[in-house]
Amino acid sequence: MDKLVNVTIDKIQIAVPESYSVLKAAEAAGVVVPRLCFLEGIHEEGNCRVCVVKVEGQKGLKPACRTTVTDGMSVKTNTKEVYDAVSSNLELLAGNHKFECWKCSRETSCEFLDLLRRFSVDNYYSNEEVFKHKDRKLNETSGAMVIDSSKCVLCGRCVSACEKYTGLGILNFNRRGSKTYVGPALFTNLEDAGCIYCGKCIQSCPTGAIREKDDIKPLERALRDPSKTVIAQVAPAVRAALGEEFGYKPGTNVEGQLFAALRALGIREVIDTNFSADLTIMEEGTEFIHRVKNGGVLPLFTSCSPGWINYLEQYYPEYIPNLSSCKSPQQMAGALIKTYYAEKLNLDPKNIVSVSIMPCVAKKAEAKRPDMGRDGYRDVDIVLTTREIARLIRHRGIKFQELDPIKPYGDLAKYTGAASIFGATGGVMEAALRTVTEIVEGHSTPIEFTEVRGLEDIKEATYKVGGKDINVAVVHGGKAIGQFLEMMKTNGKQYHFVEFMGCTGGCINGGGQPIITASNQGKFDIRERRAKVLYAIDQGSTFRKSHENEAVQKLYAEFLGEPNSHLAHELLHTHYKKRETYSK
Amino acid sequence: MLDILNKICRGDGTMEDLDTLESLGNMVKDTSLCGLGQTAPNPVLSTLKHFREEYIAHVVDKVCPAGVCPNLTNFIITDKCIGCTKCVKNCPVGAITGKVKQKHTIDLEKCIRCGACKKACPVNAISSKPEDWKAIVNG
Repeated sequence: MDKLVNVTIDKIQIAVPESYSVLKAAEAAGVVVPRLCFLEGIHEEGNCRVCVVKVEGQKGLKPACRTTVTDGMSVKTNTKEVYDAVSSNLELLAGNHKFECWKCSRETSCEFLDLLRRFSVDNYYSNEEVFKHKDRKLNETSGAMVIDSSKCVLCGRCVSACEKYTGLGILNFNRRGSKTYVGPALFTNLEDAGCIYCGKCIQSCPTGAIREKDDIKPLERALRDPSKTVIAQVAPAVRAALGEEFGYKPGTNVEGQLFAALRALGIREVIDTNFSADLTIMEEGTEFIHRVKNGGVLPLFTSCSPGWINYLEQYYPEYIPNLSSCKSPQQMAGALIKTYYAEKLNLDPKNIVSVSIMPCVAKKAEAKRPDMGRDGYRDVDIVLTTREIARLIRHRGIKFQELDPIKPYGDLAKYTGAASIFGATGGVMEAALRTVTEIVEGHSTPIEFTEVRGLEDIKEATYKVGGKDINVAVVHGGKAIGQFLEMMKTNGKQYHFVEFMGCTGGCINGGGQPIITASNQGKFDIRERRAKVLYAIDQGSTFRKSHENEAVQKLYAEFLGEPNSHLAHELLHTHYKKRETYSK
Repeated sequence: MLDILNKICRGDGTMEDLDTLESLGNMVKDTSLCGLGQTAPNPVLSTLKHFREEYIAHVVDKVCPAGVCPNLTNFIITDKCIGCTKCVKNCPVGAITGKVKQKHTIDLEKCIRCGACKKACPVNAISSKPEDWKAIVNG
């Protein structure tokens, strides 16, 4: 424990560890210091100057986030001098910001707007006749993410987040001085810049300068087209986080209300991506058993996370043979909607609009991959993130809190506990182990594999399956992926099955999930709270192993034949291939 | 700050702009981390302090006492002119007319305030001082 020092903040005396910054000490004393660029552990560079305070006996104003406390320090956070400095600072930032709040992705969670309100900022500098404004730089061809320099306040959080979460450093500052803007080097299109679309930059942005590509409008139009039938699927992690957008505490399961809201929006059928998660386990598990028995390429890598697929295809293409050929659950469900389900409902696949609601930005890019569809239609037509569906629900005036929970109203909606934990790191591995061990050993095996749970970046475990030691590993977050693959090259250990996720924490902390403000990010670990929801669903399920899912069994009996059959390969599997970065 | 200064030099400045400049300068000085930032606004702040009347001349009288700001300056040929025609040859837009060995005149409509004539004049007959051209314009 650090030595404690006494500081006075706005007449409140408090003893804090000497390593604390003034900002942290103020928070401990219950004094709110405004902040914009500071993101604990990620971006602590003090470049926005919004958190400035007056330290008595020192010249000028000091940034609270970068000033460490000293014994006997006396700090004033609320003098007129501070107020004027912060408001004119915000006024300058506002002068370069393009206010399109009505269509901004951050309509309810804009940290910048909150500050402008709080300091009653005048918009003096936006007068374009007097003040030169920066050119708007727009990077929107990727179909998944948009970078818009006209909303950027140059806080640099995304730059640090990209470096610290993925280790790739795709985003950086381009040019200098008043011409600075953030983007990939030379503002190359994101799809060519090596970006994996994990969306950590979106979650760290205080404004809407980096955002997902808005797909609300295509859905609204499809819902109003009488010739189309809209069928939606919902990913496991969405129900664990959507409530946060509607005032629920983080870690509330809103599954029932979510389905009720989708019905209220006018979506005809809702299926649960959990169902295809069970299906993924059947396909991937079978593939794994097949590879172990027949001496195929090992370790087998999971292929559920498109962020991870982007990472592998661009940075470690030599490992593509290790990748499971399975599509991700989203694409499997999409393929089934347009074939099996279309037949059942007696619909022409061309008239079905398949919508998926995902915690993920990379899923938008995945749905556009060339091999994800057949006969001229796509498996998944529109991908909405958790944030986008929340906005749509709000725009339509649906009172989310007052909705009566309902069950999903489609055929492909039954799921087991194994599927629901897909959204958390280690979940895919645990679900696969439950099924694989039981199939190989031929008798009932334990349900819980707690070694693969938790938030450590790289988790390893060894299980005895069918008399053989199986080494498994679970890796999440771009940076850990890089570390693990380098480690695997050198340490010579034979792994058999490795789960990878592009986002730290797994889908529950995906790039499309509700934004946690910077001050809350420092207070609790959102990954833990959301993961709890999924494990609770698992605990409460009657069936907790994927192969026990009756709907999956029925699907194989009626349609696919058996796991890894010819038809299953055609619909549920794909090919992954090497991609170049900065090639154009 | 540059944009405000440019606005003043164009002749569009207001008295409020001076206050804005001063408060902005002080804010930058107070909140900057490094020595560069803390001193960057000093030229503006100290000129505002010591030469405020020049700023006011720009804003209120719309003249540039130093004859630097093109929008707020007029070039006038005074009686010192010896009619050497050097200025005529140097004027890029042909705004100066006059016969050899007689006093020349500048067409202020055509003049772009580049100052080429002033540099070329061997006897310093071309003036950009407000009092000179005001006297001539007023009669």
